[in-house]
Amino acid sequence: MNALALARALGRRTSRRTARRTALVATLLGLAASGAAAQDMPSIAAADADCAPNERVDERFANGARWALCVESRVRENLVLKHVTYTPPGGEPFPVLASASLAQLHVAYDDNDVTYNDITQYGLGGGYLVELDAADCPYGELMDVRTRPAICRWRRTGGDGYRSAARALEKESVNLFSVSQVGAYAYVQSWTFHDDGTIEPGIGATGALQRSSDDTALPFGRVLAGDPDTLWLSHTHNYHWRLDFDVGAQSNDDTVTETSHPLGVDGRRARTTQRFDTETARRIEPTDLQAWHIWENAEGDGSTDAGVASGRGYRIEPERGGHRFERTDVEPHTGFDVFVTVARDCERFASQNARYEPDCLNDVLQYTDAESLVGADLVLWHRVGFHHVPRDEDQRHMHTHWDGFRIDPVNIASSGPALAVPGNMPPVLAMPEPRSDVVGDTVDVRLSASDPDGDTLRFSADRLPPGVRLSVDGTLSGELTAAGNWQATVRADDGSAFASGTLSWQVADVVASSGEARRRGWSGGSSGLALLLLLGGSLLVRRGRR
Amino acid sequence: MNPVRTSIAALVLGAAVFLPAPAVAQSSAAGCEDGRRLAHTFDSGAAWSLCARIDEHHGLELIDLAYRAPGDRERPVLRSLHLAQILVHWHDANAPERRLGGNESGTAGLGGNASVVLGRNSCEGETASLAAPGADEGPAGVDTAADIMDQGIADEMPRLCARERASGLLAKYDQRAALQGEDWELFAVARQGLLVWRTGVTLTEDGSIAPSLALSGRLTRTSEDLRYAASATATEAGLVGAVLHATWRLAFALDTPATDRVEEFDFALETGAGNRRTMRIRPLVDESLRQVRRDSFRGWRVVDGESGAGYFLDPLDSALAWNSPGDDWARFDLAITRTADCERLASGNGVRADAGCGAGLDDFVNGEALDGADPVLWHSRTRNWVPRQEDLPFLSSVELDMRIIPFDWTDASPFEVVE
Repeated sequence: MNALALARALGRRTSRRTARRTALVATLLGLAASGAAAQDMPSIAAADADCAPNERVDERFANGARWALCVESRVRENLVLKHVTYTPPGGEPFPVLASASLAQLHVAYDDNDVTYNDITQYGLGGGYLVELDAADCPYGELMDVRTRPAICRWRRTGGDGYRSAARALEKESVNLFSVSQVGAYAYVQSWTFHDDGTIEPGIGATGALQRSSDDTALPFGRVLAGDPDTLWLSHTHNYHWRLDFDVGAQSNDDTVTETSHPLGVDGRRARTTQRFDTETARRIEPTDLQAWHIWENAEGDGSTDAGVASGRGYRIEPERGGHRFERTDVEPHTGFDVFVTVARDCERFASQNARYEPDCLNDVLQYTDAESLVGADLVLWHRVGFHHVPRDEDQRHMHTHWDGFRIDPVNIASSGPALAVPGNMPPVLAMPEPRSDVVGDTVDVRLSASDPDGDTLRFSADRLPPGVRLSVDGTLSGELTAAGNWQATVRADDGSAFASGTLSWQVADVVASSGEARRRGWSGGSSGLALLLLLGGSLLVRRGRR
Repeated sequence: MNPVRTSIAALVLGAAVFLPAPAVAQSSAAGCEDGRRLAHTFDSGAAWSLCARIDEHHGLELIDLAYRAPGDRERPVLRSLHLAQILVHWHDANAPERRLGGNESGTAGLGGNASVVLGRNSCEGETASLAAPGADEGPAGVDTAADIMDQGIADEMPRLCARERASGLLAKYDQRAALQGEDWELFAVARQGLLVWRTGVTLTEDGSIAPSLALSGRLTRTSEDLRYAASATATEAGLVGAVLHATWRLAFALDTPATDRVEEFDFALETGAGNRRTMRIRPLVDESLRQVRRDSFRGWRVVDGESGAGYFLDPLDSALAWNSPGDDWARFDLAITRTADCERLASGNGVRADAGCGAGLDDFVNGEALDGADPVLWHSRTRNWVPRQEDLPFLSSVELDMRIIPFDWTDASPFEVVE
């Protein structure tokens, strides 16, 4: 009995994907028995086992992160990503997505004469997939779809991972894109995987305008320069993605929550968290500041304190919501932006699904029928829209207009991309001995610190005696104006790490002091400067690294 | 700017060209007296030119932006572009705080002492030196002393980073070879306490202008109250999240000297008319505050009064909206005002030395007619930042941006001719 047959035998209600999963486990068991067990988590091994060599993507980054996945091209959806697994720097492989794809490309024209559902009416793969050459992919490598080069794999650097005052770390990423020519439009399907664990699904619309009218008086488009007899029609592109999350080791224990931060009567914004226990459809409410989280399991989801503290998962914060297409009388699903459903292999498309899956429901809102999500494999659907008003520059060819969103990791890495700072060492601050001075004394002295990496340091201080200031280059200056026993905190900061210490400074009132002391100033070559530079007070020095 | 120092020879750095200020000062009435004239030409022949300066309060400002499409002449687009306010509403605070024009040193602005000197560890491109008026504490954030020595000038330090980036497919049609696009990115960095702000502008080969703001650095606001904080560790309290609101000021001066006008586009669904969407264009003739209308795809076009060439502002990334207390203007997504040089900050404008004209947009927008003056558009974006382990020890950059695109600027795409 082969592995797939074994899996099928394990349960008659096993879905196709679960069967495949079980088969892979069986395969892995077999490998283990033969002493050839993979070192990776099952999802990476699954990507290997369930992935033709030309479909495999395994990218490792300078910060130690790794993305592994399988990319398949299907006739309708075109790019379908499978077994998407992220390994954070220094961490273990973390499964994220069982599969991900564009689930509909819905185009509605403003005259309402035509609405296209491009993926189900035409498709983005098969004959619609454009063969690419080096000019299309000048910075990357071409991957074959069957026998034709049709996917560009592009390693990029760009965008701040983090930034301190002295250093910045740029993100590395791998971008996969393909081009599908559907009518006059060329759609660029794009998936970007960043070294910090972020995923960016995207789509670019280029090519040429599709529909026009000879009636230039119609109020549904624009007449463009050089062609006074043609009205090019405005239209909306609605992109729907289907994201079958399998976050963490198990596929059926993920949970989904919606967090929001509505304004409270006290002006504060306490988090509210709603866990979805049944299938649901949600719309963006702009002032609620929502985000949708997919958590590894119920124990660590955001509805519990533990989950808020350190639960692991991914989240989608809506950004591209300025154009929101809604036409609910004929397409009720357009009233919503996010759907959470139980994973079913036959629920592939956000609309016109029954066209290819006649035994299944027709659109994503129909899938959302209050079925329990508890213990189920979950799919999150997200919709983004763009209303296109033709402009002269669209003649021809249109410059690519990009749409998409981000899926951000939450608590996957033990800390941020700053881990990749190459060996930054904190500064060393030489603290002076405790000081005793008199009101009226002048101060002009430079503090001493060094940095093992040669970084320039910036000094700062709190609670200095009145009249004294510390410049960023470490010069204490001014005239003491008030008596007291001051405990100043001095800090030297290289932009990434710092060293600090406490400077005890007793300032006596002028009346109680001797005349000699009153006239003594640090700038006069006194022992003050020498003491300051004598690197004493090491017990007071504290080094920090944030 | 010190006239001696402005005579520094032009820096020719790869494809980017930094021109000495005097050359521009002689050719531009507006001048670039306290900034640096910059220009960049792409391989396609498309080009940008501008003057960059650091303002004490709003930080990086680009002046006299002009774009040349391939085969076209250089034409002006913006008289001025800069950030006009940052509002930060910590989730556990009763009210937001302003980060520009504040009364405390940490919130006064992004210039002066807050302006960070860039070096090889903080600029993956070429740096250009700019003065930072108001700076009195010496350079901050310099990588090494060698950087200071290289520049040799205390008050005019490398504070601007410029770089060219491949942007991917500019255009593609069927089996025709794709056109590849390039961007020219400019940014400056400022530090407010432990927070680091990166203010940038991306100028694309095809004429788009995309200002951006990114927050990073270190976060110190913590709370034990998990209604407001997240990502606590076993030993430390959680970090408190915040709503971020960025506002940019775009002073238009399109194409010819004729006054520009502003139009508002809406495409509302007409359920009683067969679900059609009639394009309605409303001229905006008075100063006003406007809101995004997501269901009607509202956008705004600025058009040259003579040539008809325009730029379009589509508020695509407006999924979230600001409704925090105070700053009434911030509840709107766009403000339109007449050009007035003293109106620079959306709020907190009173700290400016030339602030005789009001404290902010709540004063500026008073229904005055736009007629006879070029318009200024103030556009805002909101994001909600919720902490995670990935934000320790440094906050993974949180970015907000916006974009304006040419709209009937050229009669067709200047990048390709179809037989």
